[in-house]
Amino acid sequence: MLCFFVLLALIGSFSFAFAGEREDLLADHITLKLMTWENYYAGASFADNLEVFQAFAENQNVTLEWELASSSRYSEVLQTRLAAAIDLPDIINCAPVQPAAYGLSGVIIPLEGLINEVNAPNYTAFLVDHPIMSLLQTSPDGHQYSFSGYVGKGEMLGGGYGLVLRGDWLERLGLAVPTTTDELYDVLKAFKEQDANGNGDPDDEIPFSDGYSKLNVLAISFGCGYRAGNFDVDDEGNLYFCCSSEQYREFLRYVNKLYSEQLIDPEFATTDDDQVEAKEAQNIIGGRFSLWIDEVPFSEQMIQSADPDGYYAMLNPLTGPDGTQGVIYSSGMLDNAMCISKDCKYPERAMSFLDYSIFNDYATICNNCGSEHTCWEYTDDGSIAFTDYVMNNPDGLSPMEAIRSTGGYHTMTFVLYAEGRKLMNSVNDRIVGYIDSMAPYVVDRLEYSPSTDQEAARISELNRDISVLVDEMRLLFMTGEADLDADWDTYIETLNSLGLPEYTALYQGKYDRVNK
Amino acid sequence: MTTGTSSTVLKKNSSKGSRFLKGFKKEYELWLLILPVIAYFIIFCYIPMYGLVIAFQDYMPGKGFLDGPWVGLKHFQAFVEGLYFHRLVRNTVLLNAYLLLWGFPFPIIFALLLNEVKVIWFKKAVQTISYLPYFISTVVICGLIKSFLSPANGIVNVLRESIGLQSINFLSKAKYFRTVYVITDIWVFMGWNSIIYLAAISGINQELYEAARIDGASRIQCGWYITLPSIKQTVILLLIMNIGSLMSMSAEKILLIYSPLTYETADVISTYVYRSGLLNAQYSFASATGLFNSVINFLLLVLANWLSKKYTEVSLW
Amino acid sequence: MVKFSSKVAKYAKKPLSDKLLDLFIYLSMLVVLVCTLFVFMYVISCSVSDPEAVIRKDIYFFPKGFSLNAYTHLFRYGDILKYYRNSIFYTVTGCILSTVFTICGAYVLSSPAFSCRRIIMLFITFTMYFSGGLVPTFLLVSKLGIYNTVWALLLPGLISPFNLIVARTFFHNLPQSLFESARLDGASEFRILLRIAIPLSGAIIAVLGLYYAVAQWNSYFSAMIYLPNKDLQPLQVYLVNILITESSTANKSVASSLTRANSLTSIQLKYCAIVVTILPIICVYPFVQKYFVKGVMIGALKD
Repeated sequence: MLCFFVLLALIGSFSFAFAGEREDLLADHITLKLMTWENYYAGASFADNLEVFQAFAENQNVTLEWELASSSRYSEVLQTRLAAAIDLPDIINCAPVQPAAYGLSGVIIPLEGLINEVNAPNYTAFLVDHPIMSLLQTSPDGHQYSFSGYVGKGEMLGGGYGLVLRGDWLERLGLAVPTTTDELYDVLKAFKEQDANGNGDPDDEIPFSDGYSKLNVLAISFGCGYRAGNFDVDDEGNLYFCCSSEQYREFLRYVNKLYSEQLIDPEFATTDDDQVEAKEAQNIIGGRFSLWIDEVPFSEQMIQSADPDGYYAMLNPLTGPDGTQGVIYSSGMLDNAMCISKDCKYPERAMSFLDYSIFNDYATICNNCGSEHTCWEYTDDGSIAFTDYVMNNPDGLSPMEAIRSTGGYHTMTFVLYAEGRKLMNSVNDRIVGYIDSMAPYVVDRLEYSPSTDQEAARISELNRDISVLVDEMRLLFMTGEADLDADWDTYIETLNSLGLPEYTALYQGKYDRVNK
Repeated sequence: MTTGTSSTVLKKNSSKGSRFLKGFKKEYELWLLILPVIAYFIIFCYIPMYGLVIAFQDYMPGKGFLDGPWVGLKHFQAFVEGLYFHRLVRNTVLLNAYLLLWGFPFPIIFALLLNEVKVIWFKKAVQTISYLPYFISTVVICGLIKSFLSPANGIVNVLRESIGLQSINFLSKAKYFRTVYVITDIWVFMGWNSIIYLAAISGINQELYEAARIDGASRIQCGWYITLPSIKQTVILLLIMNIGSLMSMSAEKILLIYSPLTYETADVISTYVYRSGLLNAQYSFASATGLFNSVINFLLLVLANWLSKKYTEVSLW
Repeated sequence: MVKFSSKVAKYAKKPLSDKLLDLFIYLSMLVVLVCTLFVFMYVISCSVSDPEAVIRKDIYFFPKGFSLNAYTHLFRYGDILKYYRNSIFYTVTGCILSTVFTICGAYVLSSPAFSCRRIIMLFITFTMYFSGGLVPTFLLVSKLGIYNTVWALLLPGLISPFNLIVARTFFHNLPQSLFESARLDGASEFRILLRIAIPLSGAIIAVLGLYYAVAQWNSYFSAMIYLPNKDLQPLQVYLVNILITESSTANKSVASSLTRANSLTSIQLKYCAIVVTILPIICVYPFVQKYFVKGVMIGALKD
C-alpha cells in the first residue's frame, strides 16, 4: 500500500514536474518568424493574423510574424534564402528542398534533441502509435532535420482518384461499367465505333483522353505499380525498377494497342488540362485516364454545358489480364517538412509551437476544418459539423475558400483528418459514395529514409539520363514508333549502361533503413 | 565664328604638355560620365561573379562558396560524356541557327516595308499592333499553338483536310518541332524586334532620298542603296550578338509545347538542365553547363566580332 | 475635295512598278496586322466572353457572350491600385535612371576621344556572358542593405549591356564633326552631350526608354526574391499570385467550387491579367512611337 502511494506520488510529481516545466517553457511572450508559401486563398494572407493561427499563438504565448512567397516560385525564393543563410526566419517550410543537405551545412538545426515530453508532448504521444515517423525523418547521420505532419492514407480516404468514363454513354450503348482491362478495351472500342454521344455522328468521339503521365493508374493493374518513385518491391523485399520489368512491357503493349486503334487521344503526349476540358465541353471525350474524385463535379460541369444529361461514372481500380488487382497508392506518410533555422533564438519554443500546431488534436481539427465557431462546431456525439459559413457562405465562397479564409488547410504541414475532408465533400453525395467505394483499395506507398549526401548527389546524377531514356522510350513504345519486341532489349541494355543497377542499389539502401 | 581665332590661340599655346593636359581634361570628363556605369558593372556584375566557382565544386547549399569540396571538371565531364550530350548541343545550336536564318531577316524586312507606307495612320496602327504578341504571356501563346495544331479540330488541320490532305499531329512528331518553333517565334517577336530597325531608319538623312529621286532612282533602288546600308551597322551588330548566343536557348516556350515524343529535336540543354533541377537542386551541375555554354558563346562572339571587324569595320571592340 | 482628286491624279501618273510595289507592301502589312491583331483580339475576347465559350475554345476573334465576371474576380481582393502605383513608380524611375546612365555610357564609348573604349566595351560585354548567379547577387543585395527596399528592384539590372551596345552604335552614326567643332570651341563633354548629342538622338532615347520601361513593368521575379514586403510589390506579383491561387488545380475540387459561375471564371483570369498589363502600355506607346516612326516617304513628290 505504501509502495503504491509512493509510486503515485512519484508519478504525480513527474507529471507535475513536466507540467511545471511546460509552464516555465511558455512563460515568456516571444515572437516567432515563420516562412512558407502564400495561402491558396488570395483574400486572406497568413500575414493578416488569421483566426486559426491566432488561436495557436494564444495557446503558445507567441506573436507570429510571416515571410511569404507565391507558391509558384517558393522553391527558388527558399533556396536563395537558405543559401544566403543570413537573417533566417525561425521556422521554415523546407518542402521543396532536401533538408538534410542544409542540415549538414548548419543552416537548419537538428531536432531530435528538442523532441521530448516537455517541448513536444503531442508528438511524443503520436510517436507511440507511429514509430515509423521517426525513421522516415532521421538522416543516416543520425540527426532529424525536418518535422512533418502525417498524411498516410488520409488523403486518399478523404479524396482519391480513378479512371472515369461517360456514364450516359455506357447507358446509351447498353454497356456495363468495366472492371477489368479487357472490358475497358471493349468499352472504348464501342465508344469509338458507335455513336456514343448521340449526335448522329459515329466518328467524332475520342474514347480516352488526358495527359500521358496519368496513364500510370492503368499500369498498376498490370503489376508495375510505381509504388514510390519508379520502384516497386517484390515479396522478398527487393526493389525492382518498374520501367524495365516484364509487367511494364505488357502494360505498354496494352496502351499501344489502344493507341493504334485510335482509342486514345493522339494528342495525349502534349495535351494539358485546358485542352481536355475544352474537349469535355465539346462533348467528344468518352473518359479520362485519371481524375480526382472530388474534381468530378467540375468536369461534369464542362460536359453538361454541351449535354445536360452527361455525367462521369467512376471506376474502381481495374483487374489486369493476369488477375492483378489494381490499387490506389497513398501519397506517402509525410507531407512538407518544417525546419528550425540556425538563427532561431528559442528553438524549444519553436519546437513547442510546431508540436502543438501539428499534432495536438484540437489543432488538427482546426488545421483541416478552419477555426472553431466560425467554421465548425462540436456536435453532441463528439464529432464536428460545419457551419453555414462553410457550407453556405453568404459571400459566395466555396467551402474550401471559407476554411482557408480563416487559416485552415494552410500551406505548412499538419495531420490529415480524412473525415473532415469527406465532410467537406459531402456537398455532393455521389462523391462521398465514390470515396467510400474506393476506400478498400487504398494501400500504403513505399517509404524511404532520407538520403545521405552522396546518395542524393549520385541519385540525381543517375536520374538525369535515366529519366530521359525512360520517358522517351515509354512514349515511343506507346505510340508504336519503337517496337516492343525489336527494341526492348536495346532499351534494357541502355538502361543498364546508364547505371540502373547502381540506382536500384541506392534506393534499396534507403528502403532497407526504414523497413528492415 | 570664333573658330579661327581660338584655333590660332590653341596653336600658339600648344606645347606637348598643354595638349596632353587638354586631352586629359577631355578624357577626364568622359571618365566622369562613364564612372557610374563602370561602378555599376563592377558592383553588380563582377563582384558576384565568384559564384561561378561552384561549377568546379560539389556545392553544398548553405556552405560558403569557397568551402565546398573541389571536384575540378567533374561536372563538365559528366555533361560532355552524358549519353545525350550530342543531341542536346545539336538541338540547341540547330534551333538557334534556324532562328537566325529565318527569324533574323524578318524584322528587318518588315521595318523596310513599313517604312514605305505613306498612309500615316495605317503605318502607326500596324506598327503598334505588330508588337503586341510580345506582351502576351508564353502560356497563352502556347495554348493557341496547341489549339491551332490540334489533330482533332485545329485550324491548320481543318484547312489541310478541306483541300484533301491528311491531318498531321504536329506536336507529336519530332520532325515538325523546329518549324513550329521558328514560325511561332517570328509571329511573336517580329514586331518587337523591328523597333530597333525602325529607330535606325528614322535617323537617315532625308536629303539622300531627295538626291536619289532627282537622279531617277526607283523606290526599290532607294531602299537597296540608301536605307539598307544606313542601318547596316545596327544589323551587323545584332547579327554578331545573335551569333554570340548560339548555345543559349530559353526553356520556357519549349517546355510548354514539347513532350518526350519530340525530345529528339526539342530537348535542348536548358530543358534538360531544368528537368534535372526538379528532383534536387543541382546547383553545381546547372552552373557547370551554364559556364560551358557561356564559354562557347563568348568564343563565338569573339570570332564573329573579329570577322566583322575585318570585313565590315563594324565591331564591338 | 480638290486636294484629294489632285492626289489621286498624281498617284495615277506613277509608273506601274511603283503601284505594284505599293500593292505588295500594303498587302503584306495587312497580313501582319491581321495575324498580330488576331492574338490581341483573342485575348480580349476571352477575357470578356462567357466562360463556357472560353473553355470550349470556341473563341476566335470576337467575344461570344459577354461577362465581366472575370475582371470582378481579379479585382475582388482590393488594393490593386496600390500595386499599380508601385509598378508605375518602378517603371518611371527605373526607366529614367537606366536611360540616363545608358546614354552617358553610350556617348562615352562611341567617342573617339576616349582612349579606353575598346577595353571597357570588352569589360561590359563580358558580363553578358558570365554571371555569378542568383545567390551571390542576393548576398550582395543583402549586404548593401537594399533588400526589401525599392532599390532592390532599381539597382540590379540598372544597365543592360545589350541596350548599351545598341545605343553606342547609334551614337557612332551621329556626325562626329559636330562634336569635334564644339570641342574646339571649348565646350565640355557634358555640354556636347546635353546640347548636341541628345537632341539628335530622339529615336534611340525613345527605344531605350521603351525597352527599360517594359522590362520594369513586366518584371516580377526580382520582386519575388527581394521584396517580401507586400506594400512594395509591383503589379505583376499580385497578378501572378492571383493566377496561382485562383487557377490552381486545387480549385476544381468540389469543396473549392461552389457556383458554376465562380469556378469557371478562373479559366479567364489569365486573359484578364494580360489585358490589365497591356492596356497602360498601349495608352502610353503613341507618345514614344512618334520618335521613331516618322513620316519617311521615299519618292514622295514635293507638293
